[in-house]
Amino acid sequence: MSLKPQYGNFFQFEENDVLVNRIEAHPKVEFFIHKNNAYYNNENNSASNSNVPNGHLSLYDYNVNRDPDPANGQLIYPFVTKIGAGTSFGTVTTSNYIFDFDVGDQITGSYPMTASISVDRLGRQQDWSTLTASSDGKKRYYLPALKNHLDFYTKLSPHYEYSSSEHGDLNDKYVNLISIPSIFYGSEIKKGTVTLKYFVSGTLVGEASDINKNGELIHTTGSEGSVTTGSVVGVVLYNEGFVLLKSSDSIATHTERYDGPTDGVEPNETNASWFNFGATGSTAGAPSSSFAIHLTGTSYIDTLTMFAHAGENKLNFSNNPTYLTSAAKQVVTGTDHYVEGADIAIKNIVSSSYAEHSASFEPTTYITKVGIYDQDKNLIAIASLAKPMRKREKDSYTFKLKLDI
Amino acid sequence: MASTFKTLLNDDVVSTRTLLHEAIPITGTIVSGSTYNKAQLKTYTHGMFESTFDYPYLSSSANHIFDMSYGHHESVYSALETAKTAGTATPYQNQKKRDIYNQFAQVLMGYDETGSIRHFDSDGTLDDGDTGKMTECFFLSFSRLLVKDEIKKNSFRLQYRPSGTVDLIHAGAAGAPESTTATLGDYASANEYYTSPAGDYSLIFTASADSDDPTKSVGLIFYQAGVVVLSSSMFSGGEATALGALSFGYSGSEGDAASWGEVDVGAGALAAKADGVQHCIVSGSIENAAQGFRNRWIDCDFNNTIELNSTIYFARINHNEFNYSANPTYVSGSKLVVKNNVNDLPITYITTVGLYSPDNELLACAKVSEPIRKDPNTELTLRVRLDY
Repeated sequence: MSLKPQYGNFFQFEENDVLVNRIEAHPKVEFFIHKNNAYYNNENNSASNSNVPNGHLSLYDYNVNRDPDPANGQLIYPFVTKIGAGTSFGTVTTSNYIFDFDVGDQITGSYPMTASISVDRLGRQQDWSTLTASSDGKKRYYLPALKNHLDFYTKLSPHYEYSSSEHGDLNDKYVNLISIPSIFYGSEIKKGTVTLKYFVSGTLVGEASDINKNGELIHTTGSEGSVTTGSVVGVVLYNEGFVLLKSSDSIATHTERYDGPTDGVEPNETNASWFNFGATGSTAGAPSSSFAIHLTGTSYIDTLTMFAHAGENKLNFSNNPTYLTSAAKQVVTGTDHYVEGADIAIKNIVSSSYAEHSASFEPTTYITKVGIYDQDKNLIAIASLAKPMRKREKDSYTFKLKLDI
Repeated sequence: MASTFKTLLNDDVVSTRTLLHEAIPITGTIVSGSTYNKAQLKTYTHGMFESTFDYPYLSSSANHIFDMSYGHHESVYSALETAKTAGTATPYQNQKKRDIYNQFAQVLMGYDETGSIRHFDSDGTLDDGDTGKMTECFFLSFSRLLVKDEIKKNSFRLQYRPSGTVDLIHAGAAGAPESTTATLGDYASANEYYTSPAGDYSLIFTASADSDDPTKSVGLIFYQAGVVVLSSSMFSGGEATALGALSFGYSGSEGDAASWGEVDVGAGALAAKADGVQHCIVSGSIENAAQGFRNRWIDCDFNNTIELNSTIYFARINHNEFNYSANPTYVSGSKLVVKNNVNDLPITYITTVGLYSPDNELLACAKVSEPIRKDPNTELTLRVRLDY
């Protein structure tokens, strides 16, 4: 190796200096539902942020604990001025946008935006036909919208099939649809991690898990009712974040009102069943029943790793003005010239072992930052060291830089 | 003739920019520290600024909302060093205050032709000698989470108490001089703003009526940087109080006296409390100055701006186009399933618009909310918007 010092600030990354790694993370998710309330990971969200209900995650965590009354003006809210581009909020329908606002009007939204699971006990198709076009009425579209996805996964299990001679037609079944937003699980739900638990007065009466990792939810615990252990009671759409429970048979002798009143008349009590799992509509909130959903998500974090080498005889000079002695500032300037002094002395910062004695000069720099430049030498990133690193001609360092992408 | 690809012409593509705003209120209860017993205020061992969060900062729910600092110009630094040598002043963190000023000034104001850092200039006129030069400044750096792309012009308002000691302000005596308030704002920015190395900036006035006169400006707001620079003179114009016209109360009680007077400035609590902002920014720490400001903060509001850039593609479908589908379900037994007899018109239902590159690579799909019927009697224009 040449001992001749090499000057220059820019070095090109070699092929093996840049790597992209992917970290696969598996966040655990638990929902617990009791008396019309859902709790996420056993946290009391609304205690720390009164504007976020329990069981919800807040996007951006805006409006933490702020006075919820808009009249008091403490809430952050978004707004957009109506122009011709048609930009608005998802809560404003097209007809509202056209007829309720003039050009120049402010269209406002509200924060925080939160997400939580939803449990929709859809029932049978014949029940859907009685629903009007209200928000409840839109539930009749839920299952048909999932038909293609369900049929696609029949390669995993025949129980996915929307309509089959073997497992019947979903339209004829009491279907309980649990929707889990992806903010909770990331890219997909990890196969084999979904477990539903049904408690009555705190006692586990039924448990269903995807123990075969093929999407089938198999009744694994509970022999009190008519559902036998080992039978398939539902399926999981891992990528889409849906759990479909297709069994309305009893899993325990316990009976309770799981539905709200119809035309003011309270319904009859029904057995604990997977169709009643997560029911939150009854007047009393089905106080004896509680439900738990356990799953593990999958999220990917791509990381760019770069190795920046500061080899021997390199990076031993600094452009920092303090690198030179003050005597070096012998600059002669004029209207057409700028001339630096020929003898520019570099500060000798080598520490001597002896008092009243100067150590021999040795080019020494202290590296504080590593800059990453693009091919046009635009600075696009800076890595700062925790403390300056001394670099002498004989030293050789490699800095490992990591960037989450 | 049935076709699948149709070239978008110049008239079919238009780019637009929509500005989305958020209204950001920052109330005094958050800033003064009273709501969470100062758990949302983060200080640092270097003592060069303090950070305010909207919730106790150790919580994952907390959002950083702004940093507050104080700094003064080199000339003030030199004068104080001279006074210190002469024994006529006891400056504290003098060098750090100079560094803070220089750091903000070189980024926000840049350098003059001699290579010197420019002063902050309250009247917006840079090369007019010392006129309007701000040498002692409070700095508010709002977080990017709140500012987003930039602060909306003529939306910044900061209501505060220009006079009175902290304990009297907290006592809330009705009618006392301490109850006098002023509202800072970038009132003139709708008509006039300036350009700096950090983007647009405008002047801040204590009242809308003053906005015609740049000499009455007390600060600057840098819209893209999200930084507000306020002259310490904003606290000098308060009404006389029992403790003096300039009382700033930087070592008065903020919750409890012990935690409020964090720096021994060589004066008794009451005497220091009675001293004005000038004494605080000389003899007090940067955190003392920030505390004094925060406790005079009543409310702050501004709107931020998020630029949404969109390209709109008008997919125009003529009557004789897209009336046939290549979908396998379109045909059954060599017959179109949508035709009952030979004279029926062909019908399709459009569900998706694909945007392709010149090499016919599918780049994007636009889905319609429900299938749209298309037959030879109809023409459609589907408006596809791509946000980025």
